[in-house]
Amino acid sequence: LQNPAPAVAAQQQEIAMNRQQRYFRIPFIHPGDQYKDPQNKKKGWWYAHFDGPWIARQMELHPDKQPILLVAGKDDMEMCELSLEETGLTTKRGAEILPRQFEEIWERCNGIMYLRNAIESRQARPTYATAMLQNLLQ
Amino acid sequence: ADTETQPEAGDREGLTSEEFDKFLEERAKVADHIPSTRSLPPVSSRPPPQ
Repeated sequence: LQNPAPAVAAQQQEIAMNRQQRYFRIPFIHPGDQYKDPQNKKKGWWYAHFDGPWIARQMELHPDKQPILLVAGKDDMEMCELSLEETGLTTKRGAEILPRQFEEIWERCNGIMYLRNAIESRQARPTYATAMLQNLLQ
Repeated sequence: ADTETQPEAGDREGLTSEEFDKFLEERAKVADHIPSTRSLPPVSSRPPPQ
């Protein structure tokens, strides 16, 4: 079978839809850069999509570098393994962003293709993001 | 005055956990090993194969 049975897929989607989806963006500051003139600091951005307590997608942007896209299941070794509560991101002022702010950058960095490939190669763990994309592609 | 709001930015801002800060620092280092896009020749400028 190429895909999970429809009943299982529908059940997974329903579970995913009921979890809280939260999106965050915070700047990277390279070690040793803390004391540089802020104008000269080249900082990148760390983006995250949390599906309930756990991260579903992670995206890292650095000036003059290719973006790094990571999805749960396929890239777990490089992703944040802390729960959302454990990160402290929910208390960090200005860190939370709107879903569309995340999706816009994700799409611009070819995230849809990346997640689609991970789903098709059965490496992606089922999350809200995989459910959304599968809905879109149906 | 609204006493329910959070204290002024400063000490209260940037309250990510120590574990998370370490994780982010490690991830920042990963970027150092990625080749800069500026150092790569643009695809369009490559000569056609002979």
